[in-house]
Amino acid sequence: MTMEHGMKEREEQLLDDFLNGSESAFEELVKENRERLYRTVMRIVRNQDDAMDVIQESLLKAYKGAASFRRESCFSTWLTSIAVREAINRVKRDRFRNMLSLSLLAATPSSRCRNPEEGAVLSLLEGRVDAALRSLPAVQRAVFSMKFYEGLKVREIAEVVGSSEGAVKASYFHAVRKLRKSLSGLVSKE
Amino acid sequence: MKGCPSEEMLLRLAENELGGHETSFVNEHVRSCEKCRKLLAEYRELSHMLAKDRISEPSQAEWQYLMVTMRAKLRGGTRVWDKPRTTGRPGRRPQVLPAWTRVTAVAAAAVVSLVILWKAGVVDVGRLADGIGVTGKHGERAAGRVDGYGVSEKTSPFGAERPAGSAVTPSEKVASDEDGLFLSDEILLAADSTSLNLADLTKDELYELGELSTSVSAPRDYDLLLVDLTQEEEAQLLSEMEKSFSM
Repeated sequence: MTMEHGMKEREEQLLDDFLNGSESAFEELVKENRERLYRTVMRIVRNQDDAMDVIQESLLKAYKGAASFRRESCFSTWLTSIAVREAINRVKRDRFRNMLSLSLLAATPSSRCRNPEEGAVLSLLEGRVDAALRSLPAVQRAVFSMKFYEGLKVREIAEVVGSSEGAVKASYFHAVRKLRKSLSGLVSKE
Repeated sequence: MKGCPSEEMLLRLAENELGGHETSFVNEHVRSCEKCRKLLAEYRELSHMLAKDRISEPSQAEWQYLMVTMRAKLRGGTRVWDKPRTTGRPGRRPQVLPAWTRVTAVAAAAVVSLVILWKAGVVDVGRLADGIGVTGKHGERAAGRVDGYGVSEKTSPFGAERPAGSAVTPSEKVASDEDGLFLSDEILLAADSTSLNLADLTKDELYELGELSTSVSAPRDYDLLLVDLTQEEEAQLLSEMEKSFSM
């Protein structure tokens, strides 16, 4: 039995338990998925408060909708799908609000650097990267984050966003091109 | 390979996603094409740069807060102080919320009079997923559910499997610790859930409450702050906690 298969079986069992009235089974399902879910959502909304709000809304939807989950995919994929859609909606809703804050560029130098100058440069770079990622349209941002940061396969992303694999590939490529353009001053030409 | 490979192929090469044959072909082309070599280098550098994007991680307390507020929403609860109080219990002290969340340091002094301060060194108090946990002075730990005072956990649908009043078993205590649910380093604000449900507080209100609690002189001297309880409730809670402690 593969690890993936074992996990899926465990998820199924927990889901059955939850549907039979065990609240702790739902809590277990949440615990097993929450960190991964958070990373995915956070990369899309790029704000911790919003990410936690989105996760909570998604969990509420999953809690209320678990009985109608048809099990055509893993529970975790279904949950991710809910959360990613919530996150995309959040970004769309707040698209005028999510502009690069000047305070971001003036953020405290990274604690990883002993040299303050190096820290300031890194902080500026992080700010530019953040701004570039924020500039992506919501769906492209979601697709890019899931593929680049979470290492999801194109097929899995297509399942999550309810799109074709071709559309996901195109979306990812467009996102990378935009990022290259946004960060052109930082990416050396040689 | 005739002509230059597509930009997408170069990107896939930069991300090590091309198959063996394609990789060889593209690499061979790149060696002789400066334009593609530069583009490939740009994509590699871009990947390297984007990989540095860091995100903050929520603390265990933030996860717990999320779960607690979610449970409150599932219960369909609204913030109690948003509703007019319809039943007055004898002995209840004057309601201090929501004024609490708006008061200044001067008003905080008035709140202090409504707060029982648990002196440090007697017990450490933490919040478990389903009740209040008490840590003994010498490291021994007991935990109990304090009915009537559930710090937002009393009516948790998730906590319904353990009978009210039953003690947490040692293995559960370990599990709670591992899960970071035992917040013994934190000052605990406990309140009668009929008048103040921490689960229903917004983050801003909690922060404000936190600031208020730090305005109490030397808050680190205390392990537990209780607000807005009747004298009977205070006495019952104290008794329950003492029992837990001696378990």
